[in-house]
Amino acid sequence: MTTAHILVVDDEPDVESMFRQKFRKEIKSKKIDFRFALSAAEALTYLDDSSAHAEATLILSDINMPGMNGLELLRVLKEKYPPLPVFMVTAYGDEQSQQTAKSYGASGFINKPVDFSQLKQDIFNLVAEAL
Amino acid sequence: MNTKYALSRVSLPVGRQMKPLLNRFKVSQRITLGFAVALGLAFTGTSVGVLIGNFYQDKAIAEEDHYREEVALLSQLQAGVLQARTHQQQLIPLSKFPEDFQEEYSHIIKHAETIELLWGRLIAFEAAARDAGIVDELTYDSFDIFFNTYDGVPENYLQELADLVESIALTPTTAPAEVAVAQQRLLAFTNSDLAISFDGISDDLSGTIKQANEDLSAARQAADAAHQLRNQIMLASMLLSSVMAVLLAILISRSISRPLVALENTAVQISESDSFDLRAAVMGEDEVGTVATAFNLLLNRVENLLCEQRLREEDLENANHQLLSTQSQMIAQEKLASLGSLTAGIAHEIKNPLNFVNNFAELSVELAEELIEEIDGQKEQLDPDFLSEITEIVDTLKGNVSKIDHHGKRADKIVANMLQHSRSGDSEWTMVDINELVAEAINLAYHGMRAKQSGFNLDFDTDYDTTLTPLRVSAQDLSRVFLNIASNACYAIYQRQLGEGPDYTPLLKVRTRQQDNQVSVYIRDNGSGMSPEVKAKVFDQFFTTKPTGEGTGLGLSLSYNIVVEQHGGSMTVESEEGIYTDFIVTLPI
Repeated sequence: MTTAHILVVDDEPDVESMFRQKFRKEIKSKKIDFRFALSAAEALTYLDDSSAHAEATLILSDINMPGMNGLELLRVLKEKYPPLPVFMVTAYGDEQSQQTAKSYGASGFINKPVDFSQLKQDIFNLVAEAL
Repeated sequence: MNTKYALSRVSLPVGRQMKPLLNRFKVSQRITLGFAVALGLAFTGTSVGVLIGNFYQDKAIAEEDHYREEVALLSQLQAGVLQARTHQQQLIPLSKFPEDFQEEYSHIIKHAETIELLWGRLIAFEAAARDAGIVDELTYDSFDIFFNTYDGVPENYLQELADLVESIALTPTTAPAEVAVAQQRLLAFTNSDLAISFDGISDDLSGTIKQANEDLSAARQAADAAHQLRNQIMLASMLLSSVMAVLLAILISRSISRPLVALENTAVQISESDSFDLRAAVMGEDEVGTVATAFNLLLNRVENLLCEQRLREEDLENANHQLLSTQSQMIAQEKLASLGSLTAGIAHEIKNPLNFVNNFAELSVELAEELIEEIDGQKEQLDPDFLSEITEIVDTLKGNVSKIDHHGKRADKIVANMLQHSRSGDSEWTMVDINELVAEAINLAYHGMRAKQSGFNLDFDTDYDTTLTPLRVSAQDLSRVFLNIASNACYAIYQRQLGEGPDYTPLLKVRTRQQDNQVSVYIRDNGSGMSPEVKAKVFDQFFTTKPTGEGTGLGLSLSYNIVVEQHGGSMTVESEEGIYTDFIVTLPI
């Protein structure tokens, strides 16, 4: 049984609590392991560690963040770690952001409010692909 | 035309014959005529006066000269005769002194020459005067008689005296007796008939001289009278010409000023009353008439210009009105747009915290359920009192969290609608058959209603115009419009159905029509209808008659925006409370 390692990048601290409760059962059964970063910079620092980016299954990043925004982070990540799948999450479900995200190489685009059951399914699909 | 215009058309006073005659002439001609008449009269009068006066005066002066000379001639003649007689009588006493006698006699000879000369001159003078017409025949005849009477008398008298003097031939040696004889003879000669006749000349001349003097003074008076006559004629003609000049001046100035005053009155009346439809009366064909005609032409032009100006003003006013209404529309649109972006901004900002509320509420509902399960699994080991208390609290907690979840989702729906509101217009524009779009929306609304209320049903009455031109529209947005209207119609029908029961036949009537470059969609339900107050607010944002939580009050306001702002169409509603509601959506082709 493989554990999916997911890094969630969002400037809202309550996101961690929400994800941990939503994926309570999966975390307990060690199907999914979450890491949380409050900014793009924090995420990049964490991923600099070789083991960290090697084991990461998926990055979930918000687009609207102070400092470096999600789309810029996506570009950097795709330069540094091309095979790493990145999902963009946004409340502003506009065409343009979606197009940009796609052109930068995002693997998915999730509108807020997040459909967690769908997200769960997507994560399991990714894990299955990786095997 | 109004009465003012009629007033300006005052006709000329009748009976002024001079005026029309004068009006035929130009002003300059009239003035020239006036001067010519006045000056002509003055010149003619003076000339005639001078000529007549001169004629009479010349005649009088000629007579005067004649009589003066006549008097002189006659007087000289009389003097000559008297002298001759006196000297002849002196000869008698001087007979004694031959030398003195001879000297005295030489005097007589001198006088005799003078008398002869004057006699001839007088005859010639009178004849000339008669020929010149200075003296009439009668006067001349009296002279003629005189000349004939005394013809040869002086000559004979002097001849006889000469013969006598020669015969007596006195010398200093002549004897006194001879002297006495000579004296006797001289005395006899003095008293002879011839001598008396010679004296008669002098006597007759006295009367003639008197008459001549009378004639002379008469001639002087005639000359004075002629002089006066000349002055009188000149004065009279000058007076007459002055009076004529004054009369003509008055007449001419009146003939000029009267139409000018009329023109002035018209001008004043126009400028005071602003009635440019007035016209000046044209009296005559002179310069004033021309000015009046020109003035009228000017008025025509002014009236036309005013008319044009009025039209332009109206155009401008209309344009201004349009501009203002466009401006207010633009301001309203700008307001709506800024309100839209503000709404969108707020909606976005609210959406994030709302997501947390909803997510945590959902989680809490799940957790509460798990907690209830957990408690249920342990209930045998728990104190019944504690169990019932804890169960009650957890149930209340679960109820509260459910309410948070419910209201959070409600708020989320509002936010989603608001976002849609601000985002309308982003969707794709395609050629669409409106009939299809409407039919689809109606169907969707009907099934949506049936899914919520299983007992709901209605009759359809559809009449689609198959000749509709496909329209280029935002299909997604427009579909929302028809869905909104149809959903509201179903809701209204259901409301009435609940109140009236089985006797009520619910009916949804849908029609489409194309006319005047417009496509109209009529969606009419015989549901609960609207009161006028509700109808007035039906397109207002956040206005709803549905119970709290069922409607957001954004559906129709969004629909209105889509139809009017986005598609340039119109959206109206007709309704009667408890009877029907008819929505009419009109789209331009």
